[in-house]
Amino acid sequence: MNNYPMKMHLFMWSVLAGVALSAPSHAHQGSSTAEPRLVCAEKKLGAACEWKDGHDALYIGSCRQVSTSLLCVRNKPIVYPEKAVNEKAQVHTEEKTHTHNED
Amino acid sequence: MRIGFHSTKLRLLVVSSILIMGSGCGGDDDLEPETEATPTTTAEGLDFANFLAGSIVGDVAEVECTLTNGTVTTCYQFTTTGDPIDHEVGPFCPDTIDEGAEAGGKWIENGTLVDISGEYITTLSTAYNDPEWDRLYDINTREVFQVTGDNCAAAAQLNPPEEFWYTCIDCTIEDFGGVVEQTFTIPVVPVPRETIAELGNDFPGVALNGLLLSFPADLDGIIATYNIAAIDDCGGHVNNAESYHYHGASGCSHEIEQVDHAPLIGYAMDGYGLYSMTNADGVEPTDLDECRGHTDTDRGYHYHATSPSENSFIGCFHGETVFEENAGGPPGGGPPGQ
Repeated sequence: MNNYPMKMHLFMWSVLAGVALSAPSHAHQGSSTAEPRLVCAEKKLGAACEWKDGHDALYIGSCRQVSTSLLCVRNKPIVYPEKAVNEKAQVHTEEKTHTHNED
Repeated sequence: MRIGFHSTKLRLLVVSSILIMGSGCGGDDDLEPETEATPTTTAEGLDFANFLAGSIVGDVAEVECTLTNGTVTTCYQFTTTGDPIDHEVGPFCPDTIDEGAEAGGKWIENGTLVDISGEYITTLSTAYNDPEWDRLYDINTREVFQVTGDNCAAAAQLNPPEEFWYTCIDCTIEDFGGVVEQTFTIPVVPVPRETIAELGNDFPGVALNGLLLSFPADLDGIIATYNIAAIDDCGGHVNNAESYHYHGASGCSHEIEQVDHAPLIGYAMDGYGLYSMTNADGVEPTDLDECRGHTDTDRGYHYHATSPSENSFIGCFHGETVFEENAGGPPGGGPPGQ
């Protein structure tokens, strides 16, 4: 197969996509869906990173090159906030009590 | 270079995303030295007996392949159905704002996996602090605006035409013309790298039902056009390039139980096993490396997937993946978005 047309196609597609992607820069404000990316935005590849989800659980890892940006990929177990742990324990206890009563 | 996943569409999309967005990652000057890969015991590699019956099309071939370190070795080359034969696809989006969580799939908001109920759709403007999100539904008719059917091909991508903004993407495999078989080329014997390799635009691996494990969806890119590219309760969704694929390990797909260990759920593109995040007691290993792998005496080196809300599976490749000269093609991988 002649490679030239393919390369031209790629180039043109890239230019078109680039123009298109630059358009909606206003988009959303406020909360982000992508905390793992944000925390690595100013960091170097391999740098230590951590972020918290919407429930204050802590994710600890390092910035990895994933797709087109750096992403904080966790490699330590999730650290749940004490409140969440306590609530979890309470639910567990209630479930046990409920089960016991049913017996 | 590309690793063993074959799709021309994907390659086209990837090279574009690299050209467009490459500057956001910093130049080589910013890079820290690569981390030394952890020495490992021998891992066994793929065992096709672990794959779900019916997920592989035809025979598994052993072919000569060249790894990223230049080593010529033997790889398995196999084709999968691309069809999630062990679970349903969807649902993704509720039809109305009155429907409950059972009518929709999942979305990742601020690192948290949330159910897409009708009510959740109405809270997006608050969640993202942007009233424009209220254009995703009609408060009078209660309808949630969706992309379906023939519109999927144009809409289920990053930066869709403006007519598809303010929509929840509810696309089935049929909306893209049916299932697409997927061919993988993976080393027969995993070869540990001297230094780890970043995933970049390469796909992490293959699930035991033969479906593609994709790299993280560009969630911020998706919401930039007020779209919700919902994943279903099994952590997957459909797009033009990859058909149905996973963005997280939800426990839906075929897995092989282990004794006192998390179940096997797939294989990475370097041939090492991929196990779920936790064992039956909910315990996650504490000694995972940056790729989310570690070594034990039974399995050798292997990975553990992240939780579904983390929009990923592994952090990097511990082993060599397949290098293929690709006339005119970009580094392998997938589309920049969904």
